[in-house]
Parts: sequence; C-alpha cells; structure tokens
Amino acid sequence: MSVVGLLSKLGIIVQRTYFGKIVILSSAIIGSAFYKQGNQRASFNTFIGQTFFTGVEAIPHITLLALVVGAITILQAVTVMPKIGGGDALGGVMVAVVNRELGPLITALFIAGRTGSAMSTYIGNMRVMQEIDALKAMGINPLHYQIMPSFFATLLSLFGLTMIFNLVAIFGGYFIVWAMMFVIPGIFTAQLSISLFIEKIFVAMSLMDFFIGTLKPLIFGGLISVIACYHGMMVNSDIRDVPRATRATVVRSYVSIIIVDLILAIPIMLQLKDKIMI
Amino acid sequence: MSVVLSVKKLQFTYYGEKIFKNVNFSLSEGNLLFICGLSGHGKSTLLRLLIGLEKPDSGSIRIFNQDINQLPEDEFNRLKSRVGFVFQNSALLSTLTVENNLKLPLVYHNLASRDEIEEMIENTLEKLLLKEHRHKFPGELSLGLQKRTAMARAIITNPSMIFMDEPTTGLDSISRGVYLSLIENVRILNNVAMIMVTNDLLIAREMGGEIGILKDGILLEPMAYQQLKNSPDRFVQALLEEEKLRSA
Repeated sequence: MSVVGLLSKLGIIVQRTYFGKIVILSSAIIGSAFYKQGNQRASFNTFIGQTFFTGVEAIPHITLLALVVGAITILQAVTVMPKIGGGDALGGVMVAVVNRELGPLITALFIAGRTGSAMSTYIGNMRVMQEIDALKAMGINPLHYQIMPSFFATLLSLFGLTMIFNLVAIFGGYFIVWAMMFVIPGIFTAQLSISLFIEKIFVAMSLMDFFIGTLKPLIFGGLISVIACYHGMMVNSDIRDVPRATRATVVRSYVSIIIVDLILAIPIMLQLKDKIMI
Repeated sequence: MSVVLSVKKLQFTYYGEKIFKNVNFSLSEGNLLFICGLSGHGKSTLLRLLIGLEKPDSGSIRIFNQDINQLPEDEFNRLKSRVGFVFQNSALLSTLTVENNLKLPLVYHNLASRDEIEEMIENTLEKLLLKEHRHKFPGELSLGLQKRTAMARAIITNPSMIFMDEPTTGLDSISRGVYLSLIENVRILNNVAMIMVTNDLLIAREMGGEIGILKDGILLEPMAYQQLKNSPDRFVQALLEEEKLRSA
C-alpha cells in the first residue's frame, strides 16, 4: 500500500474515533468564524449571552473558591516549607501550585461542571424541541449562530476566570493567612510580609509560567465547549438522550482536562529539568 | 401562474424502510396543497425533505426553479429566507422573546434595515394578534399563541411559499378556527403558496385547495375535495369515512 493510501486509511480510522470527531468539530467551529455567513450581529448576541452566563455569573463562585484554595495553599506552604528547609521557596510554590496548576485546573473543572453541562443540556433540548431544525429551516447555520459563539465565549470566560482565580488565590489567600497571624499570634514560624511575598512571586515567575498560564485556560475552554456541543448535537428526538449527553459531557470534559493538563506539564518539566532534585 | 415547487421521482429510505418510492407533484404560486394520509406514512418527513432537513435517495426537489440538493449551502440558506416553515410543535427558540424570534431571520439574512425590521415586526404582530405578547418568552405562551408566533416567524420574511406541519394539532375548536382564519388571511393577502400536512381532511374541506393522499410511498394525484369524494380508491374512501365520523 502506498504512503498516501496508508495515510488516508489512518485518517478514516482516526475520524471515526471520539478524538477524531472532537478534532473535526473543533476545526469546523474555528473555520466557521472565518467564513462569512449571515449577519454577525445575530451570532454576537449569542456570544454576549454565553459570556455573561459562563463568565460574569461565575465570578462570585470562582472568587470564593480561589480564596479558600489560596489560603489552604499558603497555610500548607508556610507551615511545611520551613521544616524542610525551603522557607524562601514560598513564591515558587505559589506560582507552581496556583498559577501553573490549581488556577487553570480548578477553574476548568468548575466550568466543565457548570457551563459544559448546561451547554450540552441546552443544545440537546434544542435538538429535541426541533429548535435546531427550525434554525436550519430558516437558513440559519446552527454552527455559526449557536455553537461558534458559545465556543469563543467559553474560551474568553475561562481565560478571564482563571486570571481572577490566580490573583484572588495568591493575594486573597495571603491576606487570609495574614489575618490569622493577628488572631492567633505566633502560629507561624516563617516571616510573611507582603513585600517579601510579592517579591518572591515575581522572582519565581518565568516567561514559561506566563505562557502556560495563558494557554491552559484557552485549551481547556475549547475542550469544554467542543465536548459539550458535540454531545448536545448527538441528541436525537429522544428526551432520554439529554441527561446522557450531560453526563457524558461532564465525565469526558473532566478526563480530557486532566489528561491535557498532564501533557502540558511536560514542557515545564523539560524547562526545569536541571533544577529538579529528588 | 408560475410553478414555485416541483418534486420529481422522489425516493427516500428511513432506517432501512422505503418511505417514498416515487413522489411527484408541483405547486404553483398562491396555491394551497394539503398532504394527507395515515400517521407514520411520512407526511412530516416529506416536508423535511422539501426544506432540506433530510436528503433524498434520489429524485429532484426544485424550489423557485433551483434544485435544492445541487445548491451550495449558503445559496440554499438564502433561498430558505423566501420559504416559511411552521413546525408541528412550533419550535420557537426558547431563550428569545416573541419579538426576537421574529427578528432573528430578518437580522441574520440582512433582509431589512433596523427601522424597517421594527415596522415589519409591528405589522406581523398586528396581523396575527400578538402585539400584547411581544415581550413574552415561548414558555409563557399558550399552545395557540405559540402556533401563531411560529406562523408570524414564518411569514415575517414575506415568503412566497410556506410549509405547515399539522397546524391545528392540540388546539381547541375556537383556537383552531381563529388560527385557520388567520392562515387563510395571510395566504390570500400575500398570495403565498402553501403546503399543509394534516391527517384532518376537515381542514382541507373548509379551506379549499387540492388534496394529495400519501399511500404506500406514493403521493396520489392531488385533487379538490369534491373530486376526491368520487375517487374509486378504497384507501381514499376509508380516509373520507374516518373524516365523516370525526366531524359527526
């Protein structure tokens, strides 16, 4: 068999897999953003609505979550680090744990549960109630009107929410611990002045951290919305398909996010390989 | 009168079952055609084929003299703005108000300026007695109002042809009467060609127009109600008998 034949056969096999279908849908969504069809104003309204739901309405939850996670991380760091002789590594721990890992991961898992499930339920119901058919019958491309704006809204929202999570977790967490030092004097052995804390954060932050911190929410946001839209669109006229689609969206989003997070940890590890000590 | 729709040698298989073996018919400007038959004989599927929601195995469907299965997607989408479709369950977008449901096709297809859109919505709401419901969401409307909103959405683009799937299902006799007279007004005033799928021959008798009966995957030659009564076909006679019982 020729190389072209082999590649085309491989392509056919890949496109039948779940991964292949997600890749095809992602390409179609991104492609539809560059292909002018219909008035953009109609799609923009969907984008605004989805951004409000996914981004703005989730801010209070994300802020609370970030405060708690930030406080826990700093508490653990200031109690454990001095004991193992790493009192100066507080900034590095915060950057590594919150900015690289917990911020993007917790925000993505929260949004997968909140927005991913809502999105697949909504699209699934649109299928059952023939709203998708109604759009097609009016000559409105559902990919362009409903799915593409939801995709970009999730991307933007997740990026914004992750930035909020990181900031609140690092600084809000610091202030909670700082307040605890006043309530229970002498609770910590390590020094924790704000100027020192900020200095340590900036010293520990590398360009790669910034890059990964930006890239992760965008990838996770894309994953959540494509998986949600895929399962929503797979619903037929049977109402029992809707909860199945919701369940599949949440489970597959969680698994995909964690796997991708592991894959994205590899470049950081390679960059820091000289500094890793076991 | 020019032909707005022509269907030739249409064949369609659904889950291995041959639903349509050879469907042929045409519809001229301003005419009314009823497609009747038993449940599960593919009446709604025929409408879905006509608007491109399903793809036929073979045969041609020409709308305004253009074969819809040969048209590029964006051209077909533009063509659909000249055709209205009313679903059996209304299929209104649940997150949009009545007004925004009507606005959507106009905005998406750039059919009018902002001021013209306002005027068109105002006129259509008035025509279908929906003015006081313009800010309501579909979930807040009764079944009759939902059906009227779906009709309003179908006519807002000034289509030359409208497809309606079981328009009176679930309506009480008063709402049914109001709805049918509104449909008739729209049809006559705008000279719209209409295809109405129904298993209620009584509507066909009340509204006039031709009736095509779907039987064993074939559409029998459409004819007026009076002609249908004289048809020797036993299936047609059985349907007429059923209609008599229902009206009695």
